[in-house]
Amino acid sequence: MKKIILVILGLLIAISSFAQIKSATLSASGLTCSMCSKAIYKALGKVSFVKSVEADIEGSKYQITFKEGAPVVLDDLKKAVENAGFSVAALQVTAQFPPIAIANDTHIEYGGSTYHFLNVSGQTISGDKTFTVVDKKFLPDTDYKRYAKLTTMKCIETGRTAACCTKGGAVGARVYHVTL
Amino acid sequence: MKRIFIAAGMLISSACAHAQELFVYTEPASNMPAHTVGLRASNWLMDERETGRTNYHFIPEIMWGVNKHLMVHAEGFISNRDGGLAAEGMGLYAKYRFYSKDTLYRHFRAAAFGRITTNNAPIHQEEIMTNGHNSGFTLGLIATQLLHRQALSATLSYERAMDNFGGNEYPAAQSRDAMNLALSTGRLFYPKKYTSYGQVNINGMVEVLVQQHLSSDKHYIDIAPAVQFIFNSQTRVDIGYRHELYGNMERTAPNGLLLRVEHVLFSVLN
Repeated sequence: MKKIILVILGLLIAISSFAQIKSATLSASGLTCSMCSKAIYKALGKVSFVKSVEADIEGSKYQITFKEGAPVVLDDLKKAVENAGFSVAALQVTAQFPPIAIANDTHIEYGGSTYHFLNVSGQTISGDKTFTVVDKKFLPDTDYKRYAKLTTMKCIETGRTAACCTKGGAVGARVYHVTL
Repeated sequence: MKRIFIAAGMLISSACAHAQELFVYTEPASNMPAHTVGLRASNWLMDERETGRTNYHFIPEIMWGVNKHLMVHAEGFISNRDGGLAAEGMGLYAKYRFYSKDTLYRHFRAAAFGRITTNNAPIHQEEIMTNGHNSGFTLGLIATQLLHRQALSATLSYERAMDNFGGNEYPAAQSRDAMNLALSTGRLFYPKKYTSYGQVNINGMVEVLVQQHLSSDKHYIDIAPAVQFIFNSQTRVDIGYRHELYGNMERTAPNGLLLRVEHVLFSVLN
């Protein structure tokens, strides 16, 4: 039984490596002026895997599309906003999923990254799905604390896999905490 | 004195409706974006009290956002004190943002800054101004609050004048040290709603600038209203007028115009 599960997991990982993050909507906080908004717009545009950025200046929102086939590092988007002098208030990511089973408070491998789903019901997702990143500094502190209470795993604090959540896998790998 | 503070307070609070924090006479606690370069040319056209001529100071400045916390400026001081334009000195300014609390359309930030300058001009006034008149240094703290479209900023600094170069010693009878306090606010007049980066922004600013010497009772209080145009969300034109409201120190040219152009090259060092 254990072997079958491992084989299925292995298959899922293999399939998921072909999956692609397509676009993201990022809300920034701490600004109102158009010069500030342009600083973020320009900084996001300079991120290597970003294809295009469309800005909603009044709403402090940025619609980002990614280059096809390029690995997307969500941390680099946060870094770009912070380097421009502001903070991320929300990051919603749209990705194409192969049929993949997710469960609450569980890690899955997808597109070469590890995701930890929170506040979701067990389900199989497929096609274009949008998830929200709930890691520290990807949303307001009060919201982050609300999500942090939904797991006992230490990775929610550090964003890195800990001994408690890897089941013998690599400790210290980046894990994105997300919700649907 | 008390009345002046109350009047200044009222001016600041009445000008707060749609403030921006790109102040003209002070710096906000926010920094320039990392990997970004700014070019600034400030033209001070001040009325000389004794002679009635225009005291012109030109301060070119290059600004660099080193990282999200630190930015530095290098500046040159050029003036017309001897008729033609002459280089008088240079300065280095650094600002470190050490606290940031951002929420949607709001932030509170705090920064520490320092400026060190050289100058070779003769010293004819009691006002200490390391930014273009005195060799010396300034150390200070800035706190800036943005509340939706309202912003308020306070800058407190210690300024110390040294002897100027070229044998121009600082007069022994004058206080070398001063505390400065600045309260700044602004207002976005146009546009009412942002639709593109190409819209011209028009901001109004009011700043109150106070200097108090530490080893004498000499002080001044200035008011400095300004209008600011921002083109293409990238080029800033500031037109300010600084006026002494009250003071008991000798100042060569406290009142006059500031015309400034600033252009920002976003993420150019990425």
